[in-house]
Amino acid sequence: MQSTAQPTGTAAVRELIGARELLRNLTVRELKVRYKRSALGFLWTLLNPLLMMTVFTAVFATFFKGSGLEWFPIYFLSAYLPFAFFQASCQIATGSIVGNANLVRKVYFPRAVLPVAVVLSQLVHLAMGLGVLLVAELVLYIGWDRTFDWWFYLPVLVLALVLLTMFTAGLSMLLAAANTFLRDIGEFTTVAFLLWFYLTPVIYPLSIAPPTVQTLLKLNPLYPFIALFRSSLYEMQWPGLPTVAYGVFWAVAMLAIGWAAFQRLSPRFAKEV
Amino acid sequence: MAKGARGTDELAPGTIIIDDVWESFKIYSERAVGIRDRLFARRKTVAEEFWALKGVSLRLDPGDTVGLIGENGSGKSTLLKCIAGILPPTRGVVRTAGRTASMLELGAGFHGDLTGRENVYLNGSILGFSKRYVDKVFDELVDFAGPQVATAIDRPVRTYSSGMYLRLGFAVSVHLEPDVLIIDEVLAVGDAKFQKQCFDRIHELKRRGVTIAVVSHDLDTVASLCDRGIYLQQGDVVMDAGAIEVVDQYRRDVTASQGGEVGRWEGGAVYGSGAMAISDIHMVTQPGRDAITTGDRVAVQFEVEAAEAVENPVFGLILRANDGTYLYDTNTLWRRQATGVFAPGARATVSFELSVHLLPGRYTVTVAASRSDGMQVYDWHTDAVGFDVVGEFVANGVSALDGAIVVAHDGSAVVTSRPEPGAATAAAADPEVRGA
Repeated sequence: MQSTAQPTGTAAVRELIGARELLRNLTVRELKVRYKRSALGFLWTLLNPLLMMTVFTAVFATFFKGSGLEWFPIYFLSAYLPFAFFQASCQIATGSIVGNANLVRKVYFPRAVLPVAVVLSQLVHLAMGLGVLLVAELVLYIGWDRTFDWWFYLPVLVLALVLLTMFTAGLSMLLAAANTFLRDIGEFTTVAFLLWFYLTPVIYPLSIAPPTVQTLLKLNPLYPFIALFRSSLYEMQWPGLPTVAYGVFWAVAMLAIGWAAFQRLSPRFAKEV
Repeated sequence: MAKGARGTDELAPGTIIIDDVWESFKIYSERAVGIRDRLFARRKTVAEEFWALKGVSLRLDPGDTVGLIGENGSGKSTLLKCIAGILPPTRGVVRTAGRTASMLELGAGFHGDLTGRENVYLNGSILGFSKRYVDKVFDELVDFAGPQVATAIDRPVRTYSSGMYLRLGFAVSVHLEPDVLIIDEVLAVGDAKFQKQCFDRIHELKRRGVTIAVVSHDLDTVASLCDRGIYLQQGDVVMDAGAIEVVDQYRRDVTASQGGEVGRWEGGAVYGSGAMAISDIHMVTQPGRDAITTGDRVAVQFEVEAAEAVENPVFGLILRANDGTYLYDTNTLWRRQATGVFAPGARATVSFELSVHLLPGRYTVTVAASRSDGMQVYDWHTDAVGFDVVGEFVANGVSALDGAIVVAHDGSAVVTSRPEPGAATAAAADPEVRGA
């Protein structure tokens, strides 16, 4: 027996697609509200990664006598921007159901729009960050160094974006649903993402690790996405097929798991928040 | 069953079919929300299963206006949430055809940092309406919310007064022309003028054939707005008939179940400095009566306890009709009545005696204690007690002015109607009225 009020299966997918206007409005709300009362507003989207880049560049220059990498800022940003997108999406989405308790208790709408809108708004931030990075690379290409011919690798970048967004959306839905029942998730993610950050080759190259550890680090579900971003934005080479395959596997698997868990738990949200 | 449940297409928009719906809530003696509780304590906590709905079956057709009536905990709000799709039934099927707009809370989903305009569009899309549709009704909607809101429409709603906020919320809900409108306790918004506007709008939607389901503690609202009443008791439908009939039955049941006590309705705002505390606010009915009838002598009685030394505090009472109409407001300050000195911990019982010159209906009482000059509130209880005046219907309004209607034929008076029932004793004591 079921109620037509909260659809399941393919009907739920169709319902989410039907709610795209709501999705757009909520995404815009996330973007507008975020910087509504700050003086620099949207500029923070760009300033934040730049400040992080400065910090890490300075740290490496001071303590480790440089990273040994050419164009470290580019190396850093090409992985840091997607990682920051992933982390911010998951952490904000974790509280998206509980944080909108009032809405969830009082109005029916497809619940998945809440975490998905968070991911989409973060995607806008990522797109802006990448835009600036691409312009910077273009300037470098014209002025100094003929390495950064990223336009040849644009398909890889697009693939990386699509796969990472799928993975992020899946995990965001999973965390948002789980956090509704277990509020500890929110606390736990702060530490978990810090650990995840250091287990992902964002500030260091994979090659500095011993070979056995390298193999383990490559199992990290986030590794293939970061590798794709790196190859299209820094290394300027086509990625290996195993990396792409591993990335597709995790993107599809996480989206499927996240969606299934979310759909299964969402009818109970109104009682739990 | 799953296949059949899908076929909402053949139903006319605005139809709701509720088929054997059960809804359970688990009540943990201590709510387990953390990992530690889930992992270790949960097995020990006894989860009590509470059935808010026990096999409810109903059919609402387009244009039906249905009032759900019952005591707190009878399942009426749960049933509304099932219809709105917020709570899927634990067992059974709810099928709704057409668009549903739920007014379970006005301005749910409004974001303080967004402007009124942005919030209207956001709220519209939450309720499932397209931008194009909201564009079409936008001006009318803002007009409805009033000039104050109209001038502030491009300012963030956090700058709105609570009245403006609610008005905008209400305006959104009633302008989106759903096929089904679900209303829970949100009809008492704003001033009398705005309330009238709201009721007019809801009546208009009703005329247009929108199916309306209402939960309200204001039985008069239910009786005047709804055609059909559904009486719920502990999750069961015990009566499904005309709204007026059901309201009558409910009133009789409430009066009967309470014996000498008259019920306390939803408490309103309670505030104050705490220098004195009011407790045990209750009605004292006329000896030998279990209900209050027009003309009775009753009292509103409460206990006060001083937390600190207080001299000559002011005790006050406000009587309102259930729709908020201000009827009577008195206090010891205006009566130049000394109330004495209270040492810390001192207690007293305060009684306001009243003659019930009121027509049948529901009334609410607000009581307060404040400083001797009335300028600082010690303890204020808005609508702390409600009571029903029962009796035969003889007049409309609120006040019973002991009026008989006399028709004179050729100089000889004939009383063609008795005064209000409660005033009968007064009339009998005055034989001249009957003089032919």
